[in-house]
Amino acid sequence: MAPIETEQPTGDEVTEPDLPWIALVWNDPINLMSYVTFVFQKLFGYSVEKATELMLDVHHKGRAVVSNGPREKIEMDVYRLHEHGLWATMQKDE
Amino acid sequence: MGLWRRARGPVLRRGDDFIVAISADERALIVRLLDELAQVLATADDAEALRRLHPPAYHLEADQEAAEEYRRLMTEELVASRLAAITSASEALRGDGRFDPAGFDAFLRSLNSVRLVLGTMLDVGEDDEIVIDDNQPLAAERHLYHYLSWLLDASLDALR
Repeated sequence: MAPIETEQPTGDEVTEPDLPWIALVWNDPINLMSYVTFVFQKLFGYSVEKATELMLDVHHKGRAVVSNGPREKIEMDVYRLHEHGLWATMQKDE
Repeated sequence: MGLWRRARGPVLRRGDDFIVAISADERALIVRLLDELAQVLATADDAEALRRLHPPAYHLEADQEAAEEYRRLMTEELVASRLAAITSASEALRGDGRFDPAGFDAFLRSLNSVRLVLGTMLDVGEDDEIVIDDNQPLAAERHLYHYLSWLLDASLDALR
């Protein structure tokens, strides 16, 4: 089999691999469980079961990963979570 | 026939529309709170109150440059978004308290925005008992906070 040549990024692009990013939601004492569940359903299309599960993860474990993907998409997710008053941050998925 | 379905609280739903059937006094109170919040947002005067409304987007030390960039670019958007929601919610509340789906969504977010500011001011804990000493400072704010929590919960109930 011939070796496959991959195209290397050039110019301003970073040389590190393009790791996906993750959006996390952190527990806070103000947001209602019902509201957090609603937000997860609304923003990510999760079923009520999945959204509730994620909400309970946030509540009991202190935080949960609610979405993953390319950086721009995740930053948009974080922004929309902030729009709804949730405490959300992002990081590279390691 | 178009029956209104009454949820367990004051929020009625028919099809996709909602009526928040609280008293005119309560509606006026919420409008006043929304007005106050809109002022704070527009003038960016009260940094403390606004801090909770603008969380950081990155929590890792290594990403603090990105955090600053996000703050620089998105703060104004966030403020505009909240002001738009408040305007929409106030309009419906000043009227008959009737909301279409988009308006109801704006109402939910606006209620929550006020809760975030009040809750921060009151430094509420996760499992605070709802026992309010009316002789303590901020007792009125505490009553308001719990009232808004109840109303938000009832409103979310109507969505199910």
